[in-house]
Amino acid sequence: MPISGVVITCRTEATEKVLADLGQYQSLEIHGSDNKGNIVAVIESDTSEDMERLIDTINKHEDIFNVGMTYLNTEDEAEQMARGERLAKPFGFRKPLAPDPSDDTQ
Amino acid sequence: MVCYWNKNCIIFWEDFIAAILTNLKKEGVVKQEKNIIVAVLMLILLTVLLLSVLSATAQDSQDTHPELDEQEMFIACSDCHRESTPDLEKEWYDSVHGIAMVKCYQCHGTFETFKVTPTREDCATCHADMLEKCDKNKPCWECHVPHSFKSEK
Amino acid sequence: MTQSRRNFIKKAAALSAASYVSMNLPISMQDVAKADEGLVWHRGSCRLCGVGCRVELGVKNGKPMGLRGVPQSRTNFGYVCMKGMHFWKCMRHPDRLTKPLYRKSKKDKFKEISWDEALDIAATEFANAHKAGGGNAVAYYGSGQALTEETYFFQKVMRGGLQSNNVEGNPRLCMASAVGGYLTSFGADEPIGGYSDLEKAHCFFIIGSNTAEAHPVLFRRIMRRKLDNAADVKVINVDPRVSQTSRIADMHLQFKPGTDLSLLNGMANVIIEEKLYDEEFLKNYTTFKSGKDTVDFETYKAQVAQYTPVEVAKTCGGSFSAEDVKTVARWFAASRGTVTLWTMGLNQRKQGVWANNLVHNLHILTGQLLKDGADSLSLTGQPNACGGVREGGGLCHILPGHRPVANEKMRAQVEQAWGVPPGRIPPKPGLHTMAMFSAVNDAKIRAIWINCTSPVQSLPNCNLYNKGMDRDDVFIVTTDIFQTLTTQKSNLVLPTCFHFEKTGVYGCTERRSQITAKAIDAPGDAKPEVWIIREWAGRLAEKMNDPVIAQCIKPFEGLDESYELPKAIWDEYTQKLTAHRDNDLRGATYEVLEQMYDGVQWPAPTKDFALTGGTVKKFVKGRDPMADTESKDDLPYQFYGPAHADRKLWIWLRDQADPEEIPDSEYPFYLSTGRIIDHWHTMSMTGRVPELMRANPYAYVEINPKDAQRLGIKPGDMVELKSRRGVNVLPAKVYEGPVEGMVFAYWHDQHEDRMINKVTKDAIDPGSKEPEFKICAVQVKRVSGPKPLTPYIV
Repeated sequence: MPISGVVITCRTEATEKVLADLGQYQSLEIHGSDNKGNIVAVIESDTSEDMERLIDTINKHEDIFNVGMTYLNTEDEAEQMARGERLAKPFGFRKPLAPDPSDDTQ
Repeated sequence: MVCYWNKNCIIFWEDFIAAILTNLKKEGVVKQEKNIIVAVLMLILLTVLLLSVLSATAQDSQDTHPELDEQEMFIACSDCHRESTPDLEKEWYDSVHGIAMVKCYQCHGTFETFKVTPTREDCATCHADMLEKCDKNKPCWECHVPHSFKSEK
Repeated sequence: MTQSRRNFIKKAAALSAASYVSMNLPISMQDVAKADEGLVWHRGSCRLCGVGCRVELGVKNGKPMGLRGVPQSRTNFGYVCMKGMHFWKCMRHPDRLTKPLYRKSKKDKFKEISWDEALDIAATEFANAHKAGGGNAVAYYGSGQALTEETYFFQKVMRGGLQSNNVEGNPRLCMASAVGGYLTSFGADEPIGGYSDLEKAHCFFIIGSNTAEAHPVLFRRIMRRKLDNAADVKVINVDPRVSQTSRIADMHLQFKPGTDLSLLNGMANVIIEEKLYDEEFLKNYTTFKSGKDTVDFETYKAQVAQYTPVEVAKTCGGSFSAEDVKTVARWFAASRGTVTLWTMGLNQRKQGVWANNLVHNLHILTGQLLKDGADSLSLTGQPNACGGVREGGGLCHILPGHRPVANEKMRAQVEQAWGVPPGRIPPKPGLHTMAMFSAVNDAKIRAIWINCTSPVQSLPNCNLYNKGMDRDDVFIVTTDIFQTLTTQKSNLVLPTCFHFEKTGVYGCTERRSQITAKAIDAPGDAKPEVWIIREWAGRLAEKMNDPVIAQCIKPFEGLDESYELPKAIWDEYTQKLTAHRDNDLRGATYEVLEQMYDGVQWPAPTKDFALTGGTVKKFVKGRDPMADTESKDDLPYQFYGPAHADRKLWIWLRDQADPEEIPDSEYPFYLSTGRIIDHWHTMSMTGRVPELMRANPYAYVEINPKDAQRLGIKPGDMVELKSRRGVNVLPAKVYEGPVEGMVFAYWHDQHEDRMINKVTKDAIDPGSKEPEFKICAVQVKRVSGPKPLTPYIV
């Protein structure tokens, strides 16, 4: 269950809409926003893979410029490995995800 | 407006450019070009924004190396970069890092852990004492310009 | 992770993000339990190479997070190489062995068993083997990567307990010739000076070493010295292969493999001819030896007279001129301080000891010794070949404290220190490594313990000895952290703690002992070796009904294995076994070592002296406490080493002699083998770190461009190397590296097609018994164009 802190930057005039859209994600908790288009959030997901998939998805939102991660804690994955579990992609080890087939803007 | 390095700086700059363009428009200098210029500026700003946020993060960043297949990933960084970024590779090879065999992946990670811009913490692995001596508010590479690393002084 | 900790982290995450955009969040951290202690840095030594870099492991809540160098350490000054930077990733690697594994037959699959059962099996098998064949039927093959406490304790149980001198280690494959060289030339093992001479040297003579890749952090010091004093400092690189080390060389001499003996003699020739030798030094401190005879300067002069520069240039293959020989000799002799550095190029040779002698000859002849900036500095390959194996009694012919087994008085001293009956230690040395594994081939050894090394891959002509290790009538127990090619041939595999998961001392190249204390727990049921040895020996004592074996472990019973147990072992070794020996370590207690950023150079008989760092220069009155206490006259230098009764340095008359197997019409190429910077030995550790694996995923064969052109070989082509013993198929690097007529293969690969020791020859130096990995004869043939290959790790 990795935990990350992120700054989501969006178009200033679309902040309300973005906040509403972000509300649909269970793993994402909004902690604050300002009038410059900055949104501070915490993401808690089941695996590092899920975290990255979510961030990639959010990045594709038309009003969101960027999701910048400022803090990442993957202690849980380290614990799991120490207990002998095999993780497919621990600590955010990954190749870039394949392009989303449903996204026809790419 | 407080302007510190990264996000706020960029946003400040964005407003500033917008203000200039508005004035220029009023003066009739810029017409259709404005949209293109604004678009280009936005693009530049976005890139700077992206890079600045990424470089300012202390933990894992979202940089990705251009995708390679499995066999390509087994080629040593410098072998490929001798062809793809020859000036950079030569600069590194002739520097003390090159002679002492401090290789690309030591500062930039490998594919899954790749980062374009190493942090002060990365340099600290070998240069911990320098972190005490040098300006704490500057990233190392501002003065020790990669990849020749000669001090600006 | 507990819920409160989870909440704490989430708040920390939110605050971190908010701080980036100067956003104030209504979050208070006060009501959350402060479970996060932050990062704690634990000091220790690097796990790899003989430089002895000091590092700090960053640990947070019991988990390793990163590593950095210790800037105040006099070995590395804060720098680390990529292997040091990444080895900590082995600590929590998913491949770690966590449970003892056993199979009765080597054809069966391994089953997990308990420690109780495992130790019982190990004791039973060794007891049975001993009953059948005595001390000759059991053996211990250890490692220069084992902690000193481990090597010392293992050999105590073997010699004092099982009455077997079949105690060996992989330094036999690497440093034995250097040991032989030091003992015969200086009368004492290990360098007179150390790393501090690098910053004061004016001439670096680098022969048989690719320092840039094998000892990178030392190379950095040499590079810095050269770059800062380009005109004043000369670097000479002598190697049949142009390597990364050559980049800073003023002169690179490429010679036909095996002919360096004549080059070294040639340099002596020039030095004598041009009267560049130190007559005073020779008069006061030197004896001349030839075979069993003592001779004189004139005889020596006559012997080197045949090695004229013209002759030498010809013998060495014509890549350099007679004038080059003179230049190099003059630079060597006339500089204000010359340091020679070498490793496997000189040691892994049939004439290894002789090559070492010839280097020492040059230093003795010119007086380039004992003053700052001058030394003949043999670079040790492994982190603890010196401390554990050479000093701790880890070879078949030596006891702890630099004592020869064959000497009755020495055996008696050790027996007394251990409290075992006189005569307990067998009077004859045991089997050296190659003989040991030959004995395994013949099942003369019935039980062998292989600790922290992989001879299946690292022995020369390995196919021959792998056959023996496959035998079901030879019981093999291995202790390691990962599966290796050798654990794959064992009956019993015991999972051990890795570096920083246990406490102990490493002694590096420059006689410096440094401590690494436990910083994290080992995964699963892995145990420290010192605990394993004690528990095994306890059961041995019972099964064999032998109270003397019990006596060997008595001082260590009931002690906690994380700290008190290794400390007690170190105390016994240093206080009882090194007292008044030339490697006196009595001042280097755990208490002292823990206070040092780095460590203590012996001799260091007192704590006060040890705290200063110990002896920088041996044999010099006022700098070496033993030179003062052992002083016999008024001269400033006192050569009190145990091997020279006349207390002099010896110049040996050694002639050029061929390697065992040189190219002929059938096998026309020289094959040499060696290392690259990204990998350590058999890559069981470095191959599991993606950064390092990708840098050199396979063994390559380097081919000179002219040879490549003749044979139609392009970069990346698959090339077959075939010797009288075995075959490899390797991808080619066409590179202005090896001299024409020679190919160079890296030896780290575990893949059966790319394991170069199948091809190498197990010829040995008759004195040091070290194999000639560096020279044999092969056929080179292009097999195909480039093929996609897969890296292989067991």
